[in-house]
Amino acid sequence: MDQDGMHTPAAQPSWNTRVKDNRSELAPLERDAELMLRVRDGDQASFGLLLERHRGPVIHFLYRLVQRQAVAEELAQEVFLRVYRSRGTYEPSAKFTTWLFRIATHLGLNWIRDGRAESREESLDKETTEGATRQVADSTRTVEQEMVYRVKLREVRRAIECLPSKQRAAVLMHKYEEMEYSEIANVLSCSESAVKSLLFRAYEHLRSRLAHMA
Amino acid sequence: MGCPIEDDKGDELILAYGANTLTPQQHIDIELHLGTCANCRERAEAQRAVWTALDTWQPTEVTPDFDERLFRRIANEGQNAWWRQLSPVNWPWRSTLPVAVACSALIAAFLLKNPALGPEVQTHQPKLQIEQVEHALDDMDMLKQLSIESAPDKANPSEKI
Amino acid sequence: MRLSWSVVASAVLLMFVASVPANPKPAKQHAEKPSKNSKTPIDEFMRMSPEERQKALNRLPPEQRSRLQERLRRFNQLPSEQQQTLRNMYDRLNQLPPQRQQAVRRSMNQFSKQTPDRRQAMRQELRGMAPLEPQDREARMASPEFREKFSEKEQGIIRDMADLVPPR
Repeated sequence: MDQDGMHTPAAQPSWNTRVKDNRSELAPLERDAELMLRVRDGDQASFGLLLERHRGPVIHFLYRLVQRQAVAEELAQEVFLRVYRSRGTYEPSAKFTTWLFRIATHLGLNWIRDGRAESREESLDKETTEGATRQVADSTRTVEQEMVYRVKLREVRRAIECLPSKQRAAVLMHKYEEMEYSEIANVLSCSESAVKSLLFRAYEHLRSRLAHMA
Repeated sequence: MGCPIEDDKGDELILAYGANTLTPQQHIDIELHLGTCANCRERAEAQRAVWTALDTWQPTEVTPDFDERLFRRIANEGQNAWWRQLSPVNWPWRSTLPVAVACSALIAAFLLKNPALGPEVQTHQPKLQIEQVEHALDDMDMLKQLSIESAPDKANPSEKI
Repeated sequence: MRLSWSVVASAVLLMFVASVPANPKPAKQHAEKPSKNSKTPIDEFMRMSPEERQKALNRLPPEQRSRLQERLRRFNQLPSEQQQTLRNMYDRLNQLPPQRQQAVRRSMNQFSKQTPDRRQAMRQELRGMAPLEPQDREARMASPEFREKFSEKEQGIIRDMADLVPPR
């Protein structure tokens, strides 16, 4: 047995390596559920595929929600851990991504609600600088353009941060995850009309803060 | 087309216009309308501006060891799972069977003699999720602010647990 | 051979059990451990062994874990009387139907947003209601004096939160 408690090499889980998803014959909506059912039946490689497909969206969503990269990754670890733990009882009653984002949203909103986003000012400055450095690979920008860009990014993040947490989650799912109203409603466990109302209020607020940036 | 702002579907149309998700026909209709309605035009332009501004915030890179950390946690959980420790492969069946029989008899007899302990034994193996503890503390925080049985100078209801 | 050993062992153990008096005096509770009657998740957590507690905590991200530990420490430092009051209110809250719980939580949230003097006024009102029977509380909340003293929103908050105050 190795340090991680795995029997090597025979029992080394094959999901421990990133796997190329070549099961394109399955329709996208069914594929995740199908993969999860395989995980339930002990096929750990399928968990690797699910992770490959959803790692990015979940972390990015959480990052925008809590606005801290390290926290977002910790929460995302918890999301996937919960998915893995639930494999034995998984039933494809809802769309997989809905379930996944429901877990992510729950954890993210709890984190915000518990007031763990302390000393935001300092953190936002730091994250904006680091985030801008991480996300920008455009070396053609002049120093002025770079400064303008950073100011803009900071304003966007502040505007999002000022939204009530549920509105924030709804906007992030709508804008960046391109989810339908009905799916957001399922994630937030509310009606479609409640989601619309959340989004209308949120965008109203964002228009008042960001429209000048056109 | 009537003024979308006054229409129930107005907000939805403005959002869809900003996100470029209208059908071609809806797009033509709204463009025609925007040419004549300054209110809607202003609102639609603002929504477009918001949409573009939000694009500024692109996702950051995920740390390269994310998967590795996750798999390590999963492996650790698997290793520490209670069922693994009780797994039959770890048990020398032949020699432990008599002990198991004796223990079962002991527990059964003990419970028969102390029926009140039955449910108590169950409560000692709770499936307590740590989140339940967090939620309970949240509730306690909310309840603490009531503090109706403490004199105000004794308690500090605003202080969080 | 082994099976017969088990029979002998069982017989010996049964004799031992029979010699133990039924319902012996309960052992004195450890000072830090909560009473067995307390059923809040916090108490359940505190009743777990240190290893089990650590294992449960390890499931949280480090930041969240240390925050939770700090919150538990603060809770345990509250005077035992106050802890018991909170437990009682927590139990009452959790015995309510889910929708009612939701409404009470919303009202408590609203309560926290009121100004300190309004909160104090509402606390005082709830303190006054504590000794009353349900029908007397209703009468009090229907009185012109009550309606005059509190805004509609405050009346709703008090009404919801009165569910958490046990009649004395």
